[in-house]
Amino acid sequence: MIELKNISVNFKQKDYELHAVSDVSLKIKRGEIFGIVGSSGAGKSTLVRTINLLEKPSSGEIIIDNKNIVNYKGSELRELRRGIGMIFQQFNLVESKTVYDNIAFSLKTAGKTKSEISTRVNELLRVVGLIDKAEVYPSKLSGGQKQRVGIARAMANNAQILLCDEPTSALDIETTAAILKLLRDINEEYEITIVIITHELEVIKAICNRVAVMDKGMVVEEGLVYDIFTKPKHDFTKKLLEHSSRFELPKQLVKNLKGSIVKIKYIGEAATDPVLSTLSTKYNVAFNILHGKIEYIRDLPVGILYVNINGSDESIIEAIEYLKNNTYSVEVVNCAIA
Amino acid sequence: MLSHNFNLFEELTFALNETTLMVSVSLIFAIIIGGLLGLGLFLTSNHLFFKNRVLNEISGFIINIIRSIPFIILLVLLIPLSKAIVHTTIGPSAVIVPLSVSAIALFARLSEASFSNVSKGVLEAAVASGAKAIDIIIGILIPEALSQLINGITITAISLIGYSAMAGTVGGGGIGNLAIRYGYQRYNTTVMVTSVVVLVIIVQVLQFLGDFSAKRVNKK
Repeated sequence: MIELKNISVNFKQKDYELHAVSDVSLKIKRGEIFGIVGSSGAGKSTLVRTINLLEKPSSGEIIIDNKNIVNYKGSELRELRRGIGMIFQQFNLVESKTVYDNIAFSLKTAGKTKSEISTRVNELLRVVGLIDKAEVYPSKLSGGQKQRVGIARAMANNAQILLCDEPTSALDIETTAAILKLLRDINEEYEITIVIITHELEVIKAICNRVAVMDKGMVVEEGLVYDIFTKPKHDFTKKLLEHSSRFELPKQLVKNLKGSIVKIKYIGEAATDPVLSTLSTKYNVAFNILHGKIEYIRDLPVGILYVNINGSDESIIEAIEYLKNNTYSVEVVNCAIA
Repeated sequence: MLSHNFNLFEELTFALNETTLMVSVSLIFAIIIGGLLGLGLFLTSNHLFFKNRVLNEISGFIINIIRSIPFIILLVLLIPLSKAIVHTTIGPSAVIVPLSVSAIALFARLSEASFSNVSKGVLEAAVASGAKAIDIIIGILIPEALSQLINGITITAISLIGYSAMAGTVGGGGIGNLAIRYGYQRYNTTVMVTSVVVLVIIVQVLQFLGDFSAKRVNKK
């Protein structure tokens, strides 16, 4: 439903031109949660701002529902923007208006009657769980509550698309989880397409279907979140993932241990099979888990284990062979067999 | 010492009325015209609205010129303009012209600063919601700037009281005139002290009212 074709955004600086976004093409499907991840300054924010033309692309096309919107102006542009909600890292609520009036504003400007506004605002307050905060001013709200108001405001005119610019970066872990759950619920219940930009991989893992990885104004890799996380192809993606899930064995430990050490990676269905217990009974080896981590990407497990295997040379070789056939990947870190 | 028909209370009331007239009329002009100019300066400097560098810089330049002319010079310079508008060159109504011009320039800058201090993100959110510029100005920009605008009005009003006292020296009337003519030129300390005390009280009261209402509308 949203298609970006060869989008470039250049900013004229005093003596040079800054290429914030260079030749980006993306397709975002109706009803999905699409993530754009990258380090700060990668151009994510600029890119997402072109979708509602807060930033006008220097070149390229933006097709929303089969219409190229790049040259929209005046009432046509305002009409388009009413259908695209936006939420921000710093919430951007109007401090001089109550929660109710913050949400009501865009309904008023869309020409809704008082009773229509009242019905819709109360409905939205129920969706985001702030029904008792209608007459409160934003300064009295917590960060999570402010973002809920932001979400309600963005949805006011029945937006079909929700653009989220670092929606949880100003929130603590617990609140982040609650806001992400709300976004996912909204996505499922109202079939709103969500585009979310973030530098936090956790956010992508928690709610996105697909993700684009951006670096230096370009999309370097794009695909299903699960694929990107388990089989990253581009170097930048690998580096990005490493930063978030870095864990290594202490060198001293590797040196002192007897037997072989293998790094086992297992994903999806395989993660739930009892591979290790089969290993010990079938191949007569003893194993010891040295380090491990299991995480869930949109409910699918991905695990990494460092296992120390002891036994006769043959049984170790057989055991590793077995692991290779039954897990996603096996990497021998330290081999005791000469 | 004074002529027998001088009555301090009567003179003071009369002067106070003149000052009130000069200050309030000029203040109203300053709020309306200066406020609109300040809004214009802000809107032409912001890409979310009607960014227009040429228009912005020309109007800024003109305002700066007015702001840099000492008020006493402006008083004299604008005599022809006063004559053209109010058909007199003396008395409170004549002085209202230079007072207004000066206050308009001051409040234009103060209100521009108030608008500039409104969070860019809040305005951007409103633009992203598909609201018209006029709705954003009335519904968001002005309410968000209101507390600071009130502070600006207070500053302008107090400056006007000072200027109006100066205007008294060139026949503008008002408390300044009273202080100069009876207090200073005729060595009447009582009149001098009383005039100054009255001015101090007015300024204190205005500052208090301004601070109070600014605080009242501030929901931050």
